[in-house]
Amino acid sequence: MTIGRREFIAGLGSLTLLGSPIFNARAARLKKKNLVIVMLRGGMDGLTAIQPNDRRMEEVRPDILVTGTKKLTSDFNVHPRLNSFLSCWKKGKAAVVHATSIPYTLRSHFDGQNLMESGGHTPYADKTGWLGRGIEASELGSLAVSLPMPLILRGNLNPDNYYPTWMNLPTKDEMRLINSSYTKGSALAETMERVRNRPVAMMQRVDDNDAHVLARVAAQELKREDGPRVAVFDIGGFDTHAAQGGEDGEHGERLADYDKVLKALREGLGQAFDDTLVLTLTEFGRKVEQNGGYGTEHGYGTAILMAGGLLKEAQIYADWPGLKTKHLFEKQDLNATIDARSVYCSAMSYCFDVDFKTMKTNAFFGDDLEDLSGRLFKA
Amino acid sequence: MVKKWLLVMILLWPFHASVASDVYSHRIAQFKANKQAMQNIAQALAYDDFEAIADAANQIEVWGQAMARYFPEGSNQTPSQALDAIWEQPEAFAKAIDLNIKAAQRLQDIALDEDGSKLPQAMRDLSASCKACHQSFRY
Repeated sequence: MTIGRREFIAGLGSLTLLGSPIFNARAARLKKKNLVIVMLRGGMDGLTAIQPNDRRMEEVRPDILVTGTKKLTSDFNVHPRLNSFLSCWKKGKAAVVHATSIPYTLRSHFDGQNLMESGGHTPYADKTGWLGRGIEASELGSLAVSLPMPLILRGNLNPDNYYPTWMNLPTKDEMRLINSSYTKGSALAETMERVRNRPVAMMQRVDDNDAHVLARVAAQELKREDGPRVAVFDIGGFDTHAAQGGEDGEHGERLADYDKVLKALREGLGQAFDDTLVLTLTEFGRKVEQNGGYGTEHGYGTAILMAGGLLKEAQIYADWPGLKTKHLFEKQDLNATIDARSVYCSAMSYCFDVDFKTMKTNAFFGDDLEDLSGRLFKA
Repeated sequence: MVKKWLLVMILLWPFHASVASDVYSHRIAQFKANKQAMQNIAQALAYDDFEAIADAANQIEVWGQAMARYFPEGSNQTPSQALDAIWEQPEAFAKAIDLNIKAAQRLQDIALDEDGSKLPQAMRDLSASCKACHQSFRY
């Protein structure tokens, strides 16, 4: 599958150019650590991506159990379509937080996706996203490549945004002429002035039909010392109520889409991959038991796939709740024993060099989250 | 006589197959469009873009009005995710559709009134109406 224009707009289109020394003095002083969020829409099944070695899986998923998984630890195996992830794991540059979720249990995609982006408690109640608020707390400034800005990146101070074009760009003289037609000091004149002052590299034209190209373009931008620090990708199609499949099924195809983005980022970033953290985000997991259509229904607990050289080690970080019925959430879902927001808050605190408490207060309304930086990321 | 029936069946078979295929492809496309409309509304809520919200809510309402016609009895074969409950409990299915239509209309009305304070709850109600139908009538 290629990521089309819509996903580009919401995906690479949500590549935030953040912390460029051109825009911000604080960014120039800090060691550059990139944070990439890959949103997996539809409810990514953590039990398919990272399968526990548990005989119960064979009992409850006789038709969709993934065969050909590769061993990660004595307790968990990885889906065979996650080759780049496995390759990173072998080099100590991939890890998993399992049995985790945002604290949302009502199993609606729309509400869940809104909360996974806003980081709030009530669907549609917040007009900003946790990443946008985190960026603001970091005082790094931001500029998003997006039309429009995705919720996850929106802050209280609206960051500037732009979108790459296929058309020829106006020359400096043409820009000056356009600008001269606006009243001095007007909002339009200020906007044009901002555009004029942007580095030419930001205005490059891109082939937006290929996931590899999109991720490579993102990587080229992220690896520049004066480039962006944050990128957000958006991959849909994880809502596999029917024909979920095992190794080659629909869910496996979507995991392969994620893996392609990871591969392109890793290759494109080169050495800069060591200063990068790639995290997945989804609205909920899927039920443990398969349904009559050889798929799975909406669930709760899932897994966060993490990759990049900023990880402490290859590990499955979990407080594993077990798969016996009595251990399941509402007797049907993998329970979530770790609040996924603790992981995202820790990642922002670590990558943006902002203390955890400040980040928690600004990005997640001061909720009771745990600082996992020391357990997940390099000292 | 047998030959005659066979001929009738052969002549009718492709017709039925093609009608069913159109039904499936149309309703799959419409539900995908609905999903996109919901995402557009969620996006527009952050901007208080009332016009975009009203447009998308109207699109959902229009499909809601037509939806039942695209679920003829027996249209539950692959690639459909429809449960037999649709035809076993037609009144319940009609009620679920009606709830969806009313929720879409309400959201549309509030957006047209540009009443931002009532939009989040109206969106939650619309989302709940989608979910309720999916839980009862879809795999």
